[in-house]
Amino acid sequence: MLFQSVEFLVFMAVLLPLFWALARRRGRRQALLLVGSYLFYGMYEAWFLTLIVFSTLLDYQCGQRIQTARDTGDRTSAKRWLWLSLVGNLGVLGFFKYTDWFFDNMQWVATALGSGVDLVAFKRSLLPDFIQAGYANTLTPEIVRDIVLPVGISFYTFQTLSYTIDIYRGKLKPARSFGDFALFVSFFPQLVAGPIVRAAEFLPQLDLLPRIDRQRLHEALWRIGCGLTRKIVFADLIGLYLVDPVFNDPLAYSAEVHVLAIIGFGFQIYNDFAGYSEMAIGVAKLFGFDLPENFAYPFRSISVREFWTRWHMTLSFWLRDYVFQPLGGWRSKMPRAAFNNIATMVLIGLWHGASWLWVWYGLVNAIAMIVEVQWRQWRKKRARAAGVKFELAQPGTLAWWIKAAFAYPYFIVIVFGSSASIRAGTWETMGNMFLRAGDKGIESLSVWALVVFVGTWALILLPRSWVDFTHRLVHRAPTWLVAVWLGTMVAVTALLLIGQQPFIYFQF
Amino acid sequence: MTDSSPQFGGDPSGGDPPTDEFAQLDAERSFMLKRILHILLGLFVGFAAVDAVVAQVDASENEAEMELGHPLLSWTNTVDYHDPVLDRHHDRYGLRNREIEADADPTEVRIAGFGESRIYGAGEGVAQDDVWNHALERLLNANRRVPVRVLNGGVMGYSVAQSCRRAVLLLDALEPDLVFVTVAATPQALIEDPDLGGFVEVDGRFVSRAMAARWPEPLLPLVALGDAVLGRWSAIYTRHKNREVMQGDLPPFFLRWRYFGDPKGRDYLERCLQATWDSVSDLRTACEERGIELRFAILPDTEVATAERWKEWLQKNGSLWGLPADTQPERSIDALEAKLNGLGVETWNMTPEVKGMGKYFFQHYIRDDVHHWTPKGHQRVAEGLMRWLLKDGLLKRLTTERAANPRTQPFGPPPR
Repeated sequence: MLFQSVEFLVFMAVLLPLFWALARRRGRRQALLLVGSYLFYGMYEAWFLTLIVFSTLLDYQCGQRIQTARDTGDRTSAKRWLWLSLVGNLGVLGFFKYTDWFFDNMQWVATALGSGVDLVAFKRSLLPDFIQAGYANTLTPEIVRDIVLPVGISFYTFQTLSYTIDIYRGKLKPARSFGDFALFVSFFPQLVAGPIVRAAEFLPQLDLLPRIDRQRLHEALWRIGCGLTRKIVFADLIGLYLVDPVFNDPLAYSAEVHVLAIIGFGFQIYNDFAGYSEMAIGVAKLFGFDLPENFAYPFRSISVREFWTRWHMTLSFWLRDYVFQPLGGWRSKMPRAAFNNIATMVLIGLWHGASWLWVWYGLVNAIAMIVEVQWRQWRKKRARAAGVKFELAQPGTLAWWIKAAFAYPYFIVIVFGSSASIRAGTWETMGNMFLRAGDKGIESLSVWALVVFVGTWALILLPRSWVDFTHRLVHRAPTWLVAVWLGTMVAVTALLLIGQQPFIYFQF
Repeated sequence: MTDSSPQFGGDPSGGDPPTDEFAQLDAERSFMLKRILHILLGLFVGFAAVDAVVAQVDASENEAEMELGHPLLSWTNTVDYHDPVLDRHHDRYGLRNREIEADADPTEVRIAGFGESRIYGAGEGVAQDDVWNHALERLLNANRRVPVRVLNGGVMGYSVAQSCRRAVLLLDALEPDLVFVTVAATPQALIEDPDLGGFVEVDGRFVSRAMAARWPEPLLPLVALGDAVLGRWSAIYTRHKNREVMQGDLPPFFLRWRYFGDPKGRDYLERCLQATWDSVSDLRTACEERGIELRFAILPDTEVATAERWKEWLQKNGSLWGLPADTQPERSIDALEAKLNGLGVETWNMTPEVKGMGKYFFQHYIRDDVHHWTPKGHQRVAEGLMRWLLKDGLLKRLTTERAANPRTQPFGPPPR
């Protein structure tokens, strides 16, 4: 079920009071949350539950076995169990996410070689009916999937993998119980679209009594209200009035409109995803849990490297810790460091979707980061050669502003330009967006498109002090007043709801 | 499961947190349970405040020209509706024509046309008298003793299935001599989701089919009650319900089935088309039982009007439907005509009229609308309909038959 639905409201109205009524009893409150989480997930499709239960059983066992092997000093056995976890989880993820792409590519190769074989039909003949989808990817309707992608599989797979890997590395002890681990995997606020939570962050919270006070409660309500507004008002409206019309018919619109739509898509995906993350964090807080932040003002970055430390942080930090650093990270010499970076960024792209355009997305960002690192290395060398100490410009200083003035346009082009390929969905549409244009100018757009566009920019540039001031107001206000504000936000978003649009990141 | 159950990490030794931690939890729990009431109250107040504003806005607008939430048609024209600004008037049956007098001539020939917004006469600058039915009346009655009345049963946004169902509902009240339904080879016209549209009756209340599909059957009476209460008290809920009943305001209709949350494939499309053919058959049967002539007027949309428009349409949509670049529009029109003939109904192919209108496109189609007709366009359509009515002596035959069998009442009561 979606956060922005009547069903979720009813769900929370039952679950939340029950949880706090049972708060004294660890077993009962965990059991209630687990049942609630499975019910939440099962409402998408009941058979999705079999996959998450499989993943939970597999990694719980693997975690136990890895720890036992470590305790006895048997590294070979520990490695074997780790491999089982990796193969099992990534195998399931790979099947659901990449099989279509694999067969499409094989078909392309076969056709190019002049073969008349229909591999796609062959694939369809192998698949059971309930797995077959035949629906269009809502972000890029031209791409039709044959295999249903279970909601949230990309997220919870990475979560469970972090568990077994951290146990293997000795950074984490296995969960106290299967129930605890199952709840870690399936905790409903973050199950379907993150944030990707590490076991080391979540499991200790299960051992503590849940905490709620006025500040936390108001913070939770505030996050939920803000998240809802970002998703429904900023993301959905900019999609409806600017992004979709232009991307669906790029040849009709002028180049300026293309630029607005490309940036608009960046705003759409940011508000959609950040909105969901805010709601997830707020809902979790109502139950006394703290989830990690996923965004830290990413569009205030002035470099692509900085962007990836502020955007979808839980994913980028996951890949940094489990892929990039183990490969050697930036510590390696070039070209090995470049390879490490490209491999990680391409994986980020592929995590999002099975398409060469996603590979392209990762590659563009990787190359930009390599250029930035090389530029910095070159400046360091020059400074050394000149006998001068190399220092990075501090934010807010004149040197920083000068640097930002040159760096920001480049950053905009890379970040927004590469993400536009995601929405374009096909090389043809991408070509039309970047290389061809029509006649309809900005005056042809709805006024709402421009209002939301400008509004999003304003929010991005809002000073931190204003944000902090608002938080202080929220913490001090009476609970009923905060709830009235939330009620008005719910009503406004209910008015604007364009059917039940799922979160964009559900399809990853 | 108990607190010490190992499944949930219970300490088998039965150890509990220190008493002061429990005391703090009890205080926070009591705080939270009380605050939940505050939250629910605050949510209600905040929501109700916005809802009240929306209710005021909706009430202050002119009475809606469409009646939403019709149990069988999803929506239909509001009866006795009058908009002097746009010059749109509906009679007591919700038809867009002058009010039908109580002492109408029982021997008059009546023609009733049904369709979507083009037939309704939507579009800027189209006055009531400009619409095709009045234009046709003027043409037909120019040199006749026995009057012809032409009734406009068009409703904005209708599919062919809805038009057919509306026609069936009105047959007894109107007692027409001839009914025609306009049809085009477009998704709006032909694709009718049998599961989404319409209503189901639950405990004497009508609940939209889409809503009924979302809840388990045992809960439906409660859902119907909630729907009735919210529909009565919440303007925001009413807006959403109406939008859902109208099958949403999603992007182009022909893509709408692809945007549904549930995956749908070709067999779903076949079911949607079959729903349309079933409605056509139902109307044919109803007309045969009453001795009413029935025709389906194939009236293509503007993409057929000119070669350039067709080429542009094909460029945009061809790959979506797997159409080769040399596809001609007649291919779909011929297929549609063959299908309708196969269902046992006669057709009027008005492609020549549409192509004729295309030669002077902006004289016949409203600029920046490019779908609805100007007054000149309505006139052209009326001339085309007259051509078909006069062909093979159809109108003459209808006149003779009606004279031999006059009606026993001017008009029947409007259907409930």
